[in-house]
Amino acid sequence: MKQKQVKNKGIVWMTTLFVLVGTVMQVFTNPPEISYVERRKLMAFPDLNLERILNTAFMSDLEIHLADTFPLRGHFRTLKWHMGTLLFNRQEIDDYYQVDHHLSKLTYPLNEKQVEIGAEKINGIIDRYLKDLPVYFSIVPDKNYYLAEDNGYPSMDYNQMVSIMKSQVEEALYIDLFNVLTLDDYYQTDPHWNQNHLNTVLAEFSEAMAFEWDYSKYELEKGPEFIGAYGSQIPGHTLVDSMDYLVSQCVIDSSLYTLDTDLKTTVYTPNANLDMDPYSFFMGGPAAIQVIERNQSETGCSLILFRDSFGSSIAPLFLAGYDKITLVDLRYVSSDMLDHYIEFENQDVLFLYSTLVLNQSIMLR
Amino acid sequence: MVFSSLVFINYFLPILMILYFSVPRSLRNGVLLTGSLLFYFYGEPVYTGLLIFSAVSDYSHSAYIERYRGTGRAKIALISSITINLAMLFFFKYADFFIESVNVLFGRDFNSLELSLPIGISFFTFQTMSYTIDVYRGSVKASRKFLPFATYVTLFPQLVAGPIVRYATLETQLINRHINLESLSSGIQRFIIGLSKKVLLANQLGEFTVAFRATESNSVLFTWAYAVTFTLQIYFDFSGYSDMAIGLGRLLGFEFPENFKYPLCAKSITDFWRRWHMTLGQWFRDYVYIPLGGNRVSHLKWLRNLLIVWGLTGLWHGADWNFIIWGLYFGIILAVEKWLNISKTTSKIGHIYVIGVVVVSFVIFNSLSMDQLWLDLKTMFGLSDVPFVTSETLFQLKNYSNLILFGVLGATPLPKLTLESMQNFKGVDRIRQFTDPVGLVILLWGVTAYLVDSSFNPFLYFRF
Repeated sequence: MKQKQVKNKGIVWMTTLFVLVGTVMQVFTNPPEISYVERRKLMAFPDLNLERILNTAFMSDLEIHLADTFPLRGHFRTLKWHMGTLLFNRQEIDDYYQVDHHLSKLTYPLNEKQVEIGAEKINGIIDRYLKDLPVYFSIVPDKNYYLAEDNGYPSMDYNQMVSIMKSQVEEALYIDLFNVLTLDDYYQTDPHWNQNHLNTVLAEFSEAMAFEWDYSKYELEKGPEFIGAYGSQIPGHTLVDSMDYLVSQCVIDSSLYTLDTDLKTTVYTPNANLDMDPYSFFMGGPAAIQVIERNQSETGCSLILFRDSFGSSIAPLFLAGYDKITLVDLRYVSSDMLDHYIEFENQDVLFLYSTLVLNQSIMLR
Repeated sequence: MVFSSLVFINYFLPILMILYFSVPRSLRNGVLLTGSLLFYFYGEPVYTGLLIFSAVSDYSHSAYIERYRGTGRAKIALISSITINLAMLFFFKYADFFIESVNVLFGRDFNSLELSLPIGISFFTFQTMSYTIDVYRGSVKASRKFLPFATYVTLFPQLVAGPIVRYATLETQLINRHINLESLSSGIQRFIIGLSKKVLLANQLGEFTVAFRATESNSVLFTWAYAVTFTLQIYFDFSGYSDMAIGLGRLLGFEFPENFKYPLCAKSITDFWRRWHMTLGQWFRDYVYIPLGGNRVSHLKWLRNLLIVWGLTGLWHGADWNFIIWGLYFGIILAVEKWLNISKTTSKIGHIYVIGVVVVSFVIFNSLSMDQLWLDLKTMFGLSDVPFVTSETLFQLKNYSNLILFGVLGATPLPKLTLESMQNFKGVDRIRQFTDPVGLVILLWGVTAYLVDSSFNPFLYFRF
């Protein structure tokens, strides 16, 4: 009888204490506005007015706010990951997964309609702006191409994606990267490729696009350590990447102009806000139109690079063959507006898109 | 507001409990009524008035019936009350289904109303109807005071998803209820167990359903796995919610009826329906099946009664044809079982039969269209053009293997029996006085982890 009473008291007091400690800590601590670990703004306490109450927008936002600012959120996220993977034997949590020392996110199935939209978009640009210019296109496989299927994870039909693109983008020469890259060419905690591992990729481009590439002219500089986009979504791992970067005289003798901000900087931007997006080290992060230009002309050649974020780290290395590289990110600028900013004449053109973007080509404007 | 949310667990419940225990007993119903209305308002602000109207309507109708008991006026009041309740239910829940059916059947083009469904309307209208009918029958006395009755109608633990609690069950508790350490402890235990069933099992099993619906490489095995996981999902979702409701009831001094009794261990479909959503089955038995004559009529009328009850049971679950088919499917199987005099089978084959029937039933239940239903059923029985298994199927089975295993084990009395059998060992009580509280805190810790970092928290029975 006494033991039962002790048990009952234990249940009532311990559970009540657990709940109240969480509540009191949340009420009396000042919540952060930004989670650098998760790389996002946290939901602030929502605006309170009658309209938002009646349409339940206030309540929906309040739920998010409470979850976002719950005390020890990082600890709970880690606990959830470990419960999911160890207790429930989940192979992925919210599509994120870890195999050995690589983190990734499932990207399947192939969305053929989206790929066709991407092909149409490229064809439209070629027809409108690029008549008589040498045009190339290439696809950057995402990590899952090397990681998913071999480890029992579902993956998209990459062959079909390449097949659609090759059959529909007829006016451009396709440069294959699927057989050039390996899993180790990507960061462990991030979806992007590692600039230091792009030697074979550049060799492939230089051969197809007829420019000179010599890796020995580059020196590897040690960059800051960082945890990439996948690493921020997967709590509880101990992996860290290093933002190492390649420097050569032609990179040093160049500048980067960003049309969006009207600023001229170096191609590597260690002073950019890297807390939220460490990959912004390359080219200052996402931008609609940028121009890299060597201070003194060497080759007399120019390149227009239609790209996604994978283009940021490879673009400076194209300085080996081009004096001027114009980068266009169609996620941030409409293709209808391009002739307002770019003169399309006497240049090479490369469309370089990752499978991640081509599978969601609707985002290309 | 849902129970499985931080706003409920960390704010609403603690504040309500502090106020509830701070005020004199005479004011507790007032606190509870206010809290319950706030609870409903949080999830459904615009329909809170409807809930209050329902309480006022049935209170006044029942008072009138009590006053004119035995006269024609009482009968008119009963008909009026039932009509109002059914009209509310029809207007908010079934009007669009009716309009769409008329459009399809008669080639018309009436615009649908596109009203949002008031949360829990099927539960609270059934509760208030049962009250008025019971008052008319004389099995309970009409509540003299509005406050206890309104507290009963709006009582937040069972307001939006049951169990369907009759007024007679709570009549005395609404006036006088006792709370002690034992009821608080057992209420907390029951609530945390229900919360864990919902958050740790049902929500994650629900992700399998989402993955199945999103797949482009379906297979026979994937469809069967979906059918099994959805059956487990809806069981843990709904029984978890009932556990939480019963637990919260105990915290407030109420004892609600049980709603689930290991239905997936049933030995026949008749047995299954004695264990699944028990309070709904009892409601239809007492207020529809028996008044129609039950089984004390000719075979033909009995069959008619059975099909009416099960057609309505299906319709109660949702305003769509798949729910009606789902109900009639069970009606026909129950008729066959009664005809063959199978109330309980004992063999393992009998158990497999029950699981098979139930799993197929929930494929019908969860179909979004008749085309999808037909395709799912064809796929399950190898009649569609999909392979038996794909690599994605194997991946998802591995991905959810432990959850399915825990689900299957958790759907049996095995964990409970194991704990009970341990009681026979000497000294177990002494250990459990420490391990039980710690175990519950660990469960709560795990649930909080999933609530803090989760965007997937559906509640299947809210649409009913």
